[in-house]
Amino acid sequence: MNMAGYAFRRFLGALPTLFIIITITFFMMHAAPGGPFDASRRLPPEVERNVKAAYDLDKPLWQQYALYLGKLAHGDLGPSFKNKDFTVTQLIVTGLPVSVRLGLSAMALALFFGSLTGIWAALRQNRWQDYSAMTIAMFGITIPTFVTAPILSLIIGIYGVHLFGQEFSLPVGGWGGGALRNMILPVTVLALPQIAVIARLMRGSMVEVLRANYIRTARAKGLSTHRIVLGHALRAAMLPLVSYLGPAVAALLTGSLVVEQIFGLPGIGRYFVQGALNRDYTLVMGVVICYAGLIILLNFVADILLALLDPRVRLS
Amino acid sequence: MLLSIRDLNVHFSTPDGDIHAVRNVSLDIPEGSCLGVVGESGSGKSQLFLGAMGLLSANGRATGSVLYRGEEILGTRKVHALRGSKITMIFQDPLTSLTPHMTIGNQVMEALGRHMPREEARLRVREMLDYVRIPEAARRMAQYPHELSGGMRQRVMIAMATITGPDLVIADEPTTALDVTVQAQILEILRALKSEKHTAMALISHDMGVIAGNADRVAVMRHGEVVEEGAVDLIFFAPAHAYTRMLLDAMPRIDKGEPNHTATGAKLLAVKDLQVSFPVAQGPFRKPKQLRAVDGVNFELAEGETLGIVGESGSGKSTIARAVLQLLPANGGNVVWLGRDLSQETQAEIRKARKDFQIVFQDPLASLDPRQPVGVSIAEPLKALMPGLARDDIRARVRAMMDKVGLDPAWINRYPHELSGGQNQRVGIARAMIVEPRMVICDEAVSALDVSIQAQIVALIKHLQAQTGLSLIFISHDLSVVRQLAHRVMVLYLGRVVEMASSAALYRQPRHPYTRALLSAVPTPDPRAERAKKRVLLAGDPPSPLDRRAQLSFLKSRLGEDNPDAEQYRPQLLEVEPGHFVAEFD
Repeated sequence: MNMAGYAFRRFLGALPTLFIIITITFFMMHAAPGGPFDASRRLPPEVERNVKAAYDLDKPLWQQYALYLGKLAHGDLGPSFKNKDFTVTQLIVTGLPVSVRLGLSAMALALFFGSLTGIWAALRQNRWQDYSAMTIAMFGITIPTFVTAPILSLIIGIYGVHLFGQEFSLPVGGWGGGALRNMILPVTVLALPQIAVIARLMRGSMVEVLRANYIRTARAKGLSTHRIVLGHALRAAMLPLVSYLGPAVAALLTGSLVVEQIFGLPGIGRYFVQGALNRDYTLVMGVVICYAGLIILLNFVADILLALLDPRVRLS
Repeated sequence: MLLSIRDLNVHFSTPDGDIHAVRNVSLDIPEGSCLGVVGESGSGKSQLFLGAMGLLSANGRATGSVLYRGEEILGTRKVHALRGSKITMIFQDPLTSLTPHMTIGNQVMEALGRHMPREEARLRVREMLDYVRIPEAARRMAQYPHELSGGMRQRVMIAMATITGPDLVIADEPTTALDVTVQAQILEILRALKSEKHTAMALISHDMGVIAGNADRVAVMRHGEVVEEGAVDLIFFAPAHAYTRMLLDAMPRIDKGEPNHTATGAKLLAVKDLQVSFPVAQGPFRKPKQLRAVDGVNFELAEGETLGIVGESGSGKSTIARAVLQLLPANGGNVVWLGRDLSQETQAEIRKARKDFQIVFQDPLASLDPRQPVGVSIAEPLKALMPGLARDDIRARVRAMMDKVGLDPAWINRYPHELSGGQNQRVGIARAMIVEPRMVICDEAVSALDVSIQAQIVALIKHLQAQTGLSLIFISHDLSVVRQLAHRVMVLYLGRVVEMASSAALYRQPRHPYTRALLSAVPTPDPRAERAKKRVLLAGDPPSPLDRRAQLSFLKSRLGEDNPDAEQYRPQLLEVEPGHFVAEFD
């Protein structure tokens, strides 16, 4: 199969999806009551009129929509209504790398520990090790990040300082220019529920695969357990995981806003919330487009990975 | 003694309690000999050897003694060392038994172990693939299991099991999912293994015919026990146990018994030049290719007659059934039912006509709704096709029908999973017969059943036909079963008829080379006949149905023509005797 051609076809297929998302978001944002310049302190009517005219907000909605699409086609996401000195593109370009680093690090951490736990539990299926690992994982899934984040901050950041001194504890907030010390806590908090989900997924699919006839063949060949798991079972067991991974990475990148808020990190998650609350139309639109693009891209990557893992998918 | 099994017991602990799957089995396999283990499903024949080799699933437990050259191996570390080197296994269904994401070269190489330079290992693998007659072995090594046909995959399995030079190969139903001609090729390889490499073999099979042609000694298993064990001739010609006799009697024989004579009645169905093709995707940028599943098939069916349709996988036999029943759109040709051309009629009209033609499917459990009691399944066609019947009337009819097909009417509220395979197939037959159709198509209706059950269902179908004067189209890959039922037989090859004749003429005097190969490939449960048999083996893989030239496999003289699609180059049916049609061949 021609990979470049396939990628191009997928890209073309994604355009209508993106267009629909943009359209729906645009009209929904504008349907919400209020506007970017409705603050508690009202502007004088003539000032408000001038400001609105400057941002084309006085034109009919369909005209604003057409203008927005026109700018978008040139890659211009427009100015932010609230952060007056910045364009939306500037805000995203500074915020996105932070979110991406957070999300990807958390996912890598989750993948490693989650898979390991899952395989370990599957090989001890229905024994106490399996049951306890899966029970702990259930806790990991049910406890939300806004609970784990303060608790971890408290234990490591505050008590840690008292016990071991400043240099041996971790900062509980701030980006610190992306220093490893600053990333450990937020990444751990983000990764915990993912570790749990991945462990359960991996255990389930590994148990399934270990029952397959070809695993029996591998055992009959006299292979060792680790060779059976690594050579024969792992790739097949990873398939459901990879399907989950595309949307999950996207969710981590977009869903980190709680963690970004708690740890005071300059990611783009906060722009989403601030923008929506402030009716900062262009900012919300920009972040939505960015997220939608990421989700589409990550799902595409997941599909490619699936094809690489399973030779049967490559043909169809 | 190479392998001695003594008092082996296998237990499984399940949520429903302990299952005693193998009971006190003792067997011996001498060097270089073949022990056949025969039994129906659930007899414990597979679990016996999985248990002996320490390959039971996690909830299984084997006790007793297994001696390899006099040394205890059951549950010891020794069995790990032997497994895959001195004692190897071949499993049924090579598609699921090979790792899907590993090239076959690597899978075979892995069996060798890691104590060899890679180049030498590759060479050994290539030689082995050549030995099991895989053409273009070097290219095949880089392929994945799904890119190979079933027969080729089974050869890979055999290569994997023999590359280490084992003393004993345990072959568990090695040919069960394969077409008969492919089965014949695989059995030939296994025989060569025994005679050339002097490898001992445990051949596990449900098929007495496969056992007869290969085993030196035979053990017959039932409910986890060996009921009889002895030399192959003794078991087949002087069986001591009633169960062995029953198994032998239940085997449909291709070489014995009077064939059914032609039935003559009014013409019910006429199929003219039927064509069905499916688009097959060739990748994202290429146009799909048309697979001609049925390519110009003609036949007629008279009242009270049974037409057998025989063919290997991909021959189009099931497609014919679905096209005749209008369950699938035909691309060309006509299906004329009682003088009405069904291909011209609307869906509503066809629906009404369905009362007269019904179908019985292969997998009885899968083709019944698991959430419906069997009584409801049987009653459903009545409600759909004969509206206006009173509830009591429907109930009475269902009970009467269940009685007719040998089901206890008290089971009317049971669910399919509570019945056995044979009982579910009786439900399937009852469901088809309840609307009193004039024709029933049985699509591999007995293929999934054990021989003893198969014999009962065949007898039931015959009985129902004698009672009601029903016409039947009996589709099967099993030529022996078709012989029990059919008045006329049609042999399909890649969507075209290669031979059609009365059952008597076809089985006694097959004319077409393909029919001959098919017939000679069917193993008979007669060790002497099997030993004496001269086998007509087809070479290589069955051709792809996508290859339009494949239909000319037996008419190679026309292969040179530039356009294989042209009608005039395709083999035509010639009437060699009244009622006996044979396609042209070289």
